[in-house]
Amino acid sequence: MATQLLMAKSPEEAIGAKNASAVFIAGGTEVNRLGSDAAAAAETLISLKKCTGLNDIKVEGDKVCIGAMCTFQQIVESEKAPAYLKEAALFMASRTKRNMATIGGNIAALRDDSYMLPVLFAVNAELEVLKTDGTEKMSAYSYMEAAEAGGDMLITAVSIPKDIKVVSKRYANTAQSHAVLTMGAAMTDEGISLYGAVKNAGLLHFCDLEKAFRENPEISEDEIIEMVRVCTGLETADDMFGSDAYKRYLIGVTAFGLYSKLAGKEV
Amino acid sequence: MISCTINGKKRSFDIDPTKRLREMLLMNGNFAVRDSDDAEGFCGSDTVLLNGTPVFSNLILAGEVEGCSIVTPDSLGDSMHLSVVQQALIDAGVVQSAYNAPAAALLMTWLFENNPMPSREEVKDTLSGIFIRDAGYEHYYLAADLIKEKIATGKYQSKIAPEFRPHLKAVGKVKPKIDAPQLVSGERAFVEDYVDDDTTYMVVLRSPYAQAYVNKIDTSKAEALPGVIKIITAYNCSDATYMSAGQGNPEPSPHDRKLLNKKVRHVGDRVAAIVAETLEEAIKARDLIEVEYEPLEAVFTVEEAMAEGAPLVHNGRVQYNSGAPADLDEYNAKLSGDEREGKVVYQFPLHGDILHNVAAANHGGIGDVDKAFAEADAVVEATYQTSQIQHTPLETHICFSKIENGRLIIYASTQVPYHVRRIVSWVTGLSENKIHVIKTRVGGGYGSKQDILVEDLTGYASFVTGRPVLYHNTREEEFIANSTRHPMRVHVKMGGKKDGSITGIYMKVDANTGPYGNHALTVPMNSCSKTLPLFKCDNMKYDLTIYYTNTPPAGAYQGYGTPKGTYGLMMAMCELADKLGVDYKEMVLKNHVEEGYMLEILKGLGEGREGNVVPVGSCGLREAVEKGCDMIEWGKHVESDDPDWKIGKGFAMIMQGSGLPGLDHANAIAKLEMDGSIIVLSGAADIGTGLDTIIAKVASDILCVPMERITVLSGDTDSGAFDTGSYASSGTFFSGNAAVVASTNLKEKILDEAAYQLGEDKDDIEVDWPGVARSKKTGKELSYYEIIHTATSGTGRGHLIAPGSFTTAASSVPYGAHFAQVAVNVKTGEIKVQKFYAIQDAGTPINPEAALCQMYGAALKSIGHSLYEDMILDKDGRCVNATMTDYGVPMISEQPDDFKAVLIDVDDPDGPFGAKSISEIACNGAAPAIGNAIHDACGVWVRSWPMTPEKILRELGKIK
Repeated sequence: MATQLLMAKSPEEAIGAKNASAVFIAGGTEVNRLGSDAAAAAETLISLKKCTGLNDIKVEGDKVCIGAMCTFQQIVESEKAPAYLKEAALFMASRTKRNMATIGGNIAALRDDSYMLPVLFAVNAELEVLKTDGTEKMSAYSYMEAAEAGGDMLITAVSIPKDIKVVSKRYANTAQSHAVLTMGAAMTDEGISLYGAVKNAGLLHFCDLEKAFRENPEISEDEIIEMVRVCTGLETADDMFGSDAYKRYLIGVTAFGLYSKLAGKEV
Repeated sequence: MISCTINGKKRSFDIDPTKRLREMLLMNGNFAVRDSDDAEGFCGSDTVLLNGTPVFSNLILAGEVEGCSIVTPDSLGDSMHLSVVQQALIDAGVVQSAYNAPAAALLMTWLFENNPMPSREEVKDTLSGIFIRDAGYEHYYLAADLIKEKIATGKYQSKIAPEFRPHLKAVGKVKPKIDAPQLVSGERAFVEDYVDDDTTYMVVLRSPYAQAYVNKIDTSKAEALPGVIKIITAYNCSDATYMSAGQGNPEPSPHDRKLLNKKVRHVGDRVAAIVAETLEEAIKARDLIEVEYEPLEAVFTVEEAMAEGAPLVHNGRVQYNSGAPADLDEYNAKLSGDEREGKVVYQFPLHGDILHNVAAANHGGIGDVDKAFAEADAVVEATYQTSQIQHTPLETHICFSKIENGRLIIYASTQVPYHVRRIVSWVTGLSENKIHVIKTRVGGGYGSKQDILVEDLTGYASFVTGRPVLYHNTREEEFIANSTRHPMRVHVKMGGKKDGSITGIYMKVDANTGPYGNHALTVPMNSCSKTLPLFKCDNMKYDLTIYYTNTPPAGAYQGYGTPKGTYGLMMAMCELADKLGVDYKEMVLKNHVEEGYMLEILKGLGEGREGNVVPVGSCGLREAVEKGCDMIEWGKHVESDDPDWKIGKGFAMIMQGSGLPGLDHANAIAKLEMDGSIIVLSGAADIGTGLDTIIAKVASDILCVPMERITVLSGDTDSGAFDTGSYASSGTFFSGNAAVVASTNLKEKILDEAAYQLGEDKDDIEVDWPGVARSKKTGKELSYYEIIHTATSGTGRGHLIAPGSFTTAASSVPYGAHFAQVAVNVKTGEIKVQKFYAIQDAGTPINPEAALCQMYGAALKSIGHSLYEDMILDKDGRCVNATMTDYGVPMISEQPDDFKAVLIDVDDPDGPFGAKSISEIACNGAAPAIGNAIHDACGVWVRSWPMTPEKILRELGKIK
């Protein structure tokens, strides 16, 4: 249980104060929320709300750079933020929560029902990350891998392509419920880029599906559904969000639907 | 020290900066910033503006607001000086139980300050972070229109609601609910607002096992903690066996619980109660209690409970207070007789059989169903399963109790104050005159506050400690330790002829009451008694069995068992129509009852005794069906632009009751005050539905006194007179009628006194507006002030006070029909309710705008029950989704885009000014209407709640 609050004035101060028993708070909608393991384990809470320089949305060439402390609602209202990111932000149905939750916080939480990560992965978003030994740029997916490996990192900005064809889809019991599946897909020079947040299975890169679409653009929906149904690398399970079979079916049918939209096919 | 600006004033607080902002605001006296979700960021009761932006104050740390500006809901305007927004919310009728109405008012105020002409989408977006369970969201859109109009033109232009009975001034008219200004402005209203500074705090240690003996409890470490006052366990408390159901005494429920049991019967069952000086100390002490459990095998479903050799939930002994069977000793000899089991006490026989986990049962019918099925051209037979559902009131269960002058004072958020008093009397041994129950405003009940779930233990804790005690459920405790909607398995067999006539109906209902039998018979019985009487059918039979299991307890829930019975029956009827090739609407019209039809089926459905066979009274059912079919364009197929989305329509006819004739009882006392104003003391329990306003309105029209000169005091066991409480749709009919009787009696006394003072015959005197008695013969007139002034002058005949008591054998049954148009995605299984129309005969709607909001609220709630809500237990009986987010309630995003509530004008001969009940019935139609619409859309019958995308996909054969 935390006993100290540090109101960091800069990202550098924040990362400097970070240690194993400290937790960053961005918008607070996850860390301060009922049942948060992070807050329960922390001795020190490092609030980023007073950090300067983390709230801007800027166009930089063919990219849009979004400060990590930009709220979901800021993104929704921004003229500079691309439509696909707005759509992902609007997956968070509560306006009041959107006023609080930040893009950096949502990435750092690495939740398996993440609103934004599937799309950010799909567009190969680049993160500016502050570490104790300096600043580093890395992809969102690399950030996830690095975070899972441990180490203190503070996201300060997110850079995403401005003009890219992106589609996404979220499934949840109600609009406010945790999602059973969120998928994001983008059409890149290499073909479709397909990622998902699958509840209780994790944040996933659907490489096999990407390959299947690439190798056989005319692949059928049934074939994709069957591929996912029998996929051994996918660790879904029966839980309160649905059965293993349901989740696999949903991944398959959604992957095909997103691919078809990106490819301009009749769905 | 944290410094900030709150509502324009600079403030500084000496507070731990890691505490939540809400806690700091409570220190500042902003108690209308409430908590409904234990800081989950879901319900929005804790909404404030931080630097001009709506945020959840429970998700912000106190230290983060240094230098910030905060606006709280109580700053908008007090009850005497309401803002335009607050007034519009009241006028639109959305301020009902209103626990977070101030937060909603704050959001709407913020919206209009930033956007004077918001669109419907912008209103929806603004309210997307606030959970409204009582009134739904539809009239918030109306309120937005009213605000726009008021700001632009100085007056409303939109019609708020239809009005009824032009000859009356108050009844049937759109008039503000009398407690609404207090509620919307965030004044003291709820139990938590009346807690003394010197209160102690109680928490409960709960069972981790679904079934276990509690063999030993070591409280020594906990008791050694500073601040701990008392730890109550089964080994040091009252041994009274009672029942939590707050309904007529003796109840048709087995008495099978104690304050604390030596056997726990569900995960979350009470093990010990800890009273300490602070909440933190109480929680710390709870963690130090060591319990030696002896785990036992458990049962969680009716199938498991009825299995041969199933573990027994109650295995002590059975006792009957009347009507004991001759072989009771023999029966008891087959039970374990273990002292830790306690006993099950039946007030009278309910066909219970605890040796087979049966808490109660009922069987009956009319005619010959076997013959009817043999004669039918087609027969359908199917089983429909409903889920375990939580009420989710925004105000979780709470009680504050204290001792004053040798009396136990209980502040309760309850639907049944007199039953709270009775049950607390049983557990404490105090006589009822030594207990004073004060029902505050109730922040949502929906049946859950018809059970005495926290008042017994809290009152007992004050009784044994002599200290003020506050107890407040967490949201998780609402799920695991409260009451819930009974899961039911409704098996229906129905036969019909090619001409659409139904030849016979058989219902077999197996209900899961959980570990205790509160409402065990009455709730499931409603699945038959409030459904079968819809049908003009000579052959009907029912078998009703209620099983004990080790799930979280079930109990009363708005609609009782009716939504589940209606789901089974109306789905089966639609299936039968489909099989016969008959139009479902025509089949409904051919088979529904009409005024005067004798309801023989009721004979066996009398809640533990023989029922009254009565003819159908006033009935707007046919009109509701016809109207709804016109509105939804029944028979006209709608095609979606997207081939994956299939669109279908469905509807269901519905009924309920208006209290329990022959069982319910209500009282009121009307007094003429010294200036000619009126005070009505009512035993009623207004739980936010506008019952106090109904009482004021009927008194107003009877006594010809403007509503603002009438005050209603209700729900206080010291000042009122007995009322069975607000449940079973009894409020308007029983408590309203008691107010009619009391007001009429007071009018008689006024006429008598005026005649005496004028020296004329009473028959020549009449009362008239605005509170005068006038001679029809001489034209002489006395104001009420003059009458009471003379009567109480010392030489007069004294204060004019009139009691009114109401009981009846009559029943005013509300009818209606609910309609749904849904879209189903046949690839993903997603379901959207595009249109929902609730058409209801409520007799004379006394509060029309509030009535509409209750229809919207109940209908949206039941859409939630049908599609989203489900308490999920793991293999050990633990609820795995005991948070608001995981559980899944409908909010504004789930509300149908086209949502309408329509009142059918029917003047009932027995209701007060022709009124019937309104709200409970509105829970009954959504499930079958949606289920039938899903079938119409994509050809599958979804025969269990919730009707999820996964179930659709399975029925469509997309997944195995």
